[in-house]
Amino acid sequence: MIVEYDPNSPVPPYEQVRAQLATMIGSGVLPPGTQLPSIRQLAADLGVATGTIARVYRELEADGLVVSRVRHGTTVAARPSLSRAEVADRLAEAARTYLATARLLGADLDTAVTALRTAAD
Amino acid sequence: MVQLVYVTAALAVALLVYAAADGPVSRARLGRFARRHALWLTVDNGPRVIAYLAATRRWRAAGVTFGFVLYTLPWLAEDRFGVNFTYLLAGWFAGALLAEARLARPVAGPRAASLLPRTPARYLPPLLRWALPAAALLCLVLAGSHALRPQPPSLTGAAPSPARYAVWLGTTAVVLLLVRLATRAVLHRPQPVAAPDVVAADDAVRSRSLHVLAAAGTALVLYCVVAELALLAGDEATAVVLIMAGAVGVPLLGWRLATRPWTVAAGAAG
Repeated sequence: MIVEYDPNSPVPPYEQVRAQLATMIGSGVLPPGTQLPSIRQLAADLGVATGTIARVYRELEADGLVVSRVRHGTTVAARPSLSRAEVADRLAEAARTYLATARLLGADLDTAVTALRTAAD
Repeated sequence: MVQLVYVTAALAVALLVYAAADGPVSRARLGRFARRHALWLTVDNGPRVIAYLAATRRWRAAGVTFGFVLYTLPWLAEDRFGVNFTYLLAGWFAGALLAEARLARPVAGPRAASLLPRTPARYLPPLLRWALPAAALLCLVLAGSHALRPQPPSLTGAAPSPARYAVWLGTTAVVLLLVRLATRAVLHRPQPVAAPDVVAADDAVRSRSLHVLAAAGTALVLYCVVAELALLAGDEATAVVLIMAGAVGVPLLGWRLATRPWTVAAGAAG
């Protein structure tokens, strides 16, 4: 599992790293309880300031995605249990976003569904 | 004139040691490194390991040479010759620290990071993780026992001075601090995002560095412990035996600890 940082990107460094970690956590690539590297290690590897990674972890913690404890480091938080209605709402929102992207690309509904099934396989 | 010959000879030996250490890394040494860390050497990771072995040997040899010259030169000025193992070990330790500082260069290429935490537990066996704190605790306990109860006369007939215990405790504290800082620097040295064999070599190099730092630090602190025990010994014979045993046994123990094999658990690829 690797996070990357593009210094030439217009996206701020902390957002680049935060988005990648949030995606990995959200998709289950980083399961709950996974220990994340220390702020200093991640900052050194990416060549960014420690404050940048500290902000990433703070924002992920504020979103409930990670838990930071003194002397225990930062771990991926347990996923909150959602009600059926909440799950349905979030899926509907994600579907709308996905369909909007598909339309932007000129793809019809069947193509979009096929792409979804392919991704699931 | 005789003194000048001694000084010249000492410097010549020192320079010879340094020059010999600056030669190419032997295949046998490379093989030992690979066996200790169960590392499969490849065309891609070999140069990195060779560069590491060459750099660390150069700096550690320079440190030993410095320790030798630092102790021996004043003796030669008095037409005497002496070698102090503590100076040699301290010089070697200083060289090891400098080598690690020299190795802490930023990696070239795209900026990327593995999400696998690099912790001492991954790179060191439990024995080496706890040897230095245990030795430091022993040093503290012995100094405390000196403070709490009257001491027998020392070899010179005078009671052991609290200042001497303070020096050993201070030395122990400095060694602990230096090893801790160097360990953090080694762990936080940027890791290249590369093929698994290159990452495995990088992990092996880190593990070797941490082995050496922990073992040398432990040996230095054990020297302080031996010196305290010698002062606490009631008679001269026991003190001499302790000092002699320490002079031989402590470096051997340090060497055994530093060369312990350890395989770094591979991280998740990708």
